[in-house]
Amino acid sequence: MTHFAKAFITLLSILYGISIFADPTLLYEQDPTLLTTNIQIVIRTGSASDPKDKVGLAELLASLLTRGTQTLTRTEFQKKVEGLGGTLSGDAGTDNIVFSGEVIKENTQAFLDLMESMLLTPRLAPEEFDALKRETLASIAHIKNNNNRLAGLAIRKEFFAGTPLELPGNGSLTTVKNIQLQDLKKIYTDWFHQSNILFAVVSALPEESFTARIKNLAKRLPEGKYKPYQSIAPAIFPKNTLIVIQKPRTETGVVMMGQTGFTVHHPDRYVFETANYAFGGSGLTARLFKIIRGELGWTYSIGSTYTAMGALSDQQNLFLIYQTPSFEFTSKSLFKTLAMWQQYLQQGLLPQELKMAQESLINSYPFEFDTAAKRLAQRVYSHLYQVPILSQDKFSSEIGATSNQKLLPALAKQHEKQSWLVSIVGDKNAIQAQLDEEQRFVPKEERLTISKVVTPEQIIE
Amino acid sequence: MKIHIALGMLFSGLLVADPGPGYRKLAVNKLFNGDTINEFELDNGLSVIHVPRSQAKVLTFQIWFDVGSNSEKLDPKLKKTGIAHLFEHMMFRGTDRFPDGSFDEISSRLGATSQNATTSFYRTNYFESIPSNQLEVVLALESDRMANLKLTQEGLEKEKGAVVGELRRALDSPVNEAYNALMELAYQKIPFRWTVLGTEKEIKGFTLEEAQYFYKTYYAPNNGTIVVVGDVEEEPLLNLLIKYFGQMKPQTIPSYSLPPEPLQARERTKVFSHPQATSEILLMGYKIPPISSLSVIPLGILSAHLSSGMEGRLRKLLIDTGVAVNAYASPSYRPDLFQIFVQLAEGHKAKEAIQIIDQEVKSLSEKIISEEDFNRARNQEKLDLYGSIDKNNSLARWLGEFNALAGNYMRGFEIIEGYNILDRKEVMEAANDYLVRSRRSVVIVTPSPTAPQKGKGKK
Repeated sequence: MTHFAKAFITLLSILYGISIFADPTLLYEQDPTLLTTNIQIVIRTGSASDPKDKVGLAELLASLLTRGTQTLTRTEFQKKVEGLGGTLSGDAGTDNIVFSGEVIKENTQAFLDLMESMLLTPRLAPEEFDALKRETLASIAHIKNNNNRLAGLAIRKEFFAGTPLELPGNGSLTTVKNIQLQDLKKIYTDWFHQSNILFAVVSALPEESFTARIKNLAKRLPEGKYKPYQSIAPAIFPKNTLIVIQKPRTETGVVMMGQTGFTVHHPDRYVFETANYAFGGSGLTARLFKIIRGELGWTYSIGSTYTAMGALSDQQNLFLIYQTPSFEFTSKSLFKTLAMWQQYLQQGLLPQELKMAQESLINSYPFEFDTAAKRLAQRVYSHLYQVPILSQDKFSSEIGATSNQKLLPALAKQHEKQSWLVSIVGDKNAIQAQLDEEQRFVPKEERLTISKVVTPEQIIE
Repeated sequence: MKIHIALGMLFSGLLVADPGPGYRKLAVNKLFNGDTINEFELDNGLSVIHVPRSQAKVLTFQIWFDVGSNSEKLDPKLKKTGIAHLFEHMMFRGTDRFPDGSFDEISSRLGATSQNATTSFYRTNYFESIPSNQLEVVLALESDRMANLKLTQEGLEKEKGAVVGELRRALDSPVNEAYNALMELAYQKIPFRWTVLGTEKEIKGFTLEEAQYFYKTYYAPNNGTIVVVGDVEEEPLLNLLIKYFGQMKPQTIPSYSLPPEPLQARERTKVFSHPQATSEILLMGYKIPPISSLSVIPLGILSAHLSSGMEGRLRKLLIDTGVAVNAYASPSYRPDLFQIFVQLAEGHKAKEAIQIIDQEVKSLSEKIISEEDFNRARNQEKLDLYGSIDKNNSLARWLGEFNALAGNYMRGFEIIEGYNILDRKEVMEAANDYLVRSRRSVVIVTPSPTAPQKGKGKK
């Protein structure tokens, strides 16, 4: 490649986050002040592709790959990684598996050798698979201790019932028990190919230290065809539905309220993000926080998000309002939130709320790019989901264009036909008593009632 | 110890007797990545630590006060805990110039991120990261609430409610309760035995007069340190700091010595149940020397050996074997305890974990750590530091915390440098000296008999 061509493509890379390499793809950022090198390898298939009775498969494979190579046992491999001053982990998301490595910069090349072996010649040893499965099952059992996770999982289970997404990426006790080593070997063969991989590096070392090695590494993977992700549609609840996760003697109630969200390509994405920032997304300055925590003092935390399932992607996300009220205020806080939501749907935002959200989002945008690692993460995201990285001016223009004229029809279209799926962690009798008290003047047929009571064991089984 | 002399040579900051208009430059130090750390003191005693960086048009501002729950318990005018933490909330309640709610609103409009405050036993801090062109507005806000906070009965009562909510939320956490129990068990006299949050009775009982006394006494310039890391040069920063903080008057800060703690002669144990626990929790604390001691260097290696990475010994012995779902060791300072935490897997008992840990500690006390294990532990500690100092807010937190903890913001780097000249034998000696049962307090939390049990309650 000529110097000019390389410079031109590097420019394209900076402007649009598109690498010079179509296959394999390397996204690179150099920062001479860095003391560590950060390497990410992204496999563009994830836990949404797990069979629904074997959810946890992608997550197990991601972890098992970091447990030894054909020439190094798990202990030998991990001691080498950590002895170099490195750390290496594998995690599955909905639509990808990400291997993240970081090492003190002097040992970058030796660390790359290890990552290469992990990727091309993993050990996939039966004894390590058994150990990993056992650890995963213990970790899933431990979720019972975490009320926030229980409430979130209950919501997820209802929205995505009957699909792999009804469970988190690490699966449930039943689905993990179903997984066999040959299942992992099969997806390793199916998913780890040249067209399904992306490399991203941020380092103090020059780009030349990586390009040839990574191109060569990718060439040694089999050829294959990239399959674009197909979003799984969440359910829509026509009336408010309440699930209680039975857990007596809690001091704090955990309340989560869910509706369907959208993908990263939604045309009103920035309108929703701006408006939600003012309604519940900004923490201390959001409307929900100011009233339910600040004025009424019923809850310690409260907020709302359109990214309940992680960053916006090609998968339709969930919209969530979450709060942790003192238990005695659980129902009061829930009904107040419902009323505030109705008011928001009908009237949108006050001018000062909108102005504050816009200023805040626009002025904080530089923090999306203030470290080399963040800049690279933006480029990876842009590449994976084919969304542009907005310049400050373009971002300001998108956010600044939000108004009630745009917001109200967008809210109506997205939310009007939906009701809430609510999950509460607490004692069902105490919650029922609170619901009765709060709705004593509401006709019986219009009251919110408990639709389902589940135990923590049922959530994770 | 042979590292003693060498450590004295490290990071010997250039002392600069440079009297300027309203401030003195005290030292200049260099970071591993070439960044410069400047230290100043304003004439009113306010300390300033500054790391200029120009990679992005952003910076982190933090202000740290040398007051936490220990001070209030020892202050004869207060003698209770909780007000330092309550004050962390009150500081967002407004002034005449910036009324209630406007601090959050203005800083949010500026684009501030990572804005929050925390309180510990020995310090309170407030922090935010901002676009660098907004520094002056933040300094106006921060200096105003430091000098002119509007303390009202109404505001105090509202925050008491929020803090009680926070306290109740903490009560739901068996891990949090285990920590509180460990502090109470390990310390009979030092106020670490009382929680930072205080009790519900103490929180509800604070008066406006106590709040006013606390504010005037402890939120003084000569009791504070400002840390700024990011895109601002020395001269404009100092000019702004003098403009906004330079007029504040220093106060007489009460000086208290921690009461002498009776020597612990034997192991102490407490076992209790918690309604939200679904498996047993083990938390142990061994008394260790303070952060200024040379022994913290081998103790840092011991903790990394036990819990860093996938090859940490506790992981191999407890998690990989299915006994626990989480396990780590970590030295903490003020309180000076080497803590080991284990969340047992269902069906396993804390006693099993204690036996395994005791065996491992015995081995560490009898055998010199292998070179391979030593290098792994040391490099993991370096990775931990190197990976965080490129971020403005984590570097600022690192500098501020060590400054509050040790009175020396370079102490964290000295410890990391100390690993390079540590003899492996000293790791064994530290295990022998400190990881002994007579220095240990042990807390075990068991699931409550009334907590939901596996298999019960299913339809």
